[in-house]
Amino acid sequence: MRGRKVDFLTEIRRDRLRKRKRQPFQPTLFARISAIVREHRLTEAFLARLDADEAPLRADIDRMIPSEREPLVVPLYSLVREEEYRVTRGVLERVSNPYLACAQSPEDILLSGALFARNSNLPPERLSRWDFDTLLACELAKEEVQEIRAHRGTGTGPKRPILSDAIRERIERLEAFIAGVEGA
Amino acid sequence: MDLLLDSDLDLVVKGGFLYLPLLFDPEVEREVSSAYGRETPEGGSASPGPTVIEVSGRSYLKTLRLTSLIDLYGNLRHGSAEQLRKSCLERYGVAPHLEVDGRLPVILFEVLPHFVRTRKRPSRRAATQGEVLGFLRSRLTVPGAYLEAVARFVDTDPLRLLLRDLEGGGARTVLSENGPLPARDLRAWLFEAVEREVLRHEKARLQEGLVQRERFRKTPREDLAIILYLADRGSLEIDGFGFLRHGEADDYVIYRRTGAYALRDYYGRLYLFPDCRVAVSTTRGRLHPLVLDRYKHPFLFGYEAGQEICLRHFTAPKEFSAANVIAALEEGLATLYYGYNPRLRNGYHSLDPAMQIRRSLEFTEYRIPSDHSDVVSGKVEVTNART
Repeated sequence: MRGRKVDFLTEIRRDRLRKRKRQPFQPTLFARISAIVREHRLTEAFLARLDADEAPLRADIDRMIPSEREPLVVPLYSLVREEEYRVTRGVLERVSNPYLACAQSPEDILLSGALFARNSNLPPERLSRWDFDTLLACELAKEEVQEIRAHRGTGTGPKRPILSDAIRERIERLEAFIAGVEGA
Repeated sequence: MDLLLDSDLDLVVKGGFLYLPLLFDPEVEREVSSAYGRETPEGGSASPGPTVIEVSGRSYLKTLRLTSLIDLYGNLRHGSAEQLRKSCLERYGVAPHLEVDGRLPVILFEVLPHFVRTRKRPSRRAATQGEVLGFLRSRLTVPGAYLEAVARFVDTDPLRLLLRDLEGGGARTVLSENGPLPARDLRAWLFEAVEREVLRHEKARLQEGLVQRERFRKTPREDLAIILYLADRGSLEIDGFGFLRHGEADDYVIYRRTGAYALRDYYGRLYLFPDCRVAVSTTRGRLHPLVLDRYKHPFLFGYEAGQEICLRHFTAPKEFSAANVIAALEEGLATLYYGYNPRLRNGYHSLDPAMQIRRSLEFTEYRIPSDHSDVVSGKVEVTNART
């Protein structure tokens, strides 16, 4: 009985200590998006692009070199001009996916929905480290590899060995790209 | 200030106040919306009060009074204000000339005789201006150039001409209150307003100069040369009393030397305190006595120069007058001499180290034997012997 009491008290103390422990201050989503809006001087035209819901272009993986990016400096508090505020509010009203919290550029905002739709389990470190178009290209590459593997060997006729070599080469390039992004 | 004046912001001027575009975050928007009684700030037109106004569909926040901007311009942009002042005075042909500040006669003819014996025989009657000047003449050697400057000083015609030229000087642009205006308009208006302020100040200075010239018109040439010499030099020290002029605003520091004195601690041991200058400064806005030199004493908080003396029952006067200066200096001197009570160990520090957990200042190096030759001969007085 006594032991249980002590445990209970210890638990209360531990719980209070945990509550009292200082949590690192995180800027709000508004601060992040307004920082992007201010830095890139985004206007209502950007909201029109969001409304148009442009389909992401299929990236040319052969020409794409995965590159890490400089982290965006988000202010702890943000106060913006009225027109910037309208654009920020517009973005927040139009885009509502968890990846927006890691967006660092207007392109990231535009691609965040498509990326989340393709893979909703990307870790925050990877989202912060790579541009969203690189991550989206990675997801598309994965899809392409699966697609090719699903149809592999279906080709017939005299051209089959030539096509197989080209496909093998393509798969290798795609897998190298995926490994470059995911394995780094 | 630079950010504001050089910005591309649109500003609004209303009722003598400057309104800047309101910056938003969700909380500000909520506040503004509730104050407007609508959902978003761009919808309605009802005013939430004078703090936020809406002009041309945009919200503006009340910030500074325009007159404050002019008054504080010199503090905020010192270099620019000085440049404006110089160019403005050059344009109106105001050259630097020898002036007698109104405070100098007060110091010379009212404060100095209180602390310095200006007559051979003691008298209850206050020393006259002539007596003080006679005393100064006996103690100072005035260069010949100041005798020549006297004739120029008493001639008031050039000053009157200059004053006439300054009358009505300075452009008067009015800021429009009808709508938003660019920051460059505010900048142009502010520069003009600062120039007008410079001219106003200069006019007041010239008028004060005229008053002083009229006052000394009948003063003998040699005596006036002494006043001009001291006005130009800006400092004097005679028999432990002195003054210094410093800073761009020509503030005065008036001081009296304490000379060496001794204080007694709880056990009757003596401490010999060196000479220091107890002063009042016209810079600080109030005449509170302070010690000019690096000094330590139970009634001074630290061991550095320019410390105010701890005074419990003294309200520092703000107005500059001979009586106030004398009262403040006397209070400061009396506190250093007689303020420390060895039984109470009053002040910030006690002379003896007893009963203190942490001592910030030590006075042991001032300790002297009770039969010290200066004390025995009466050269140094134990000033708190009777407390």
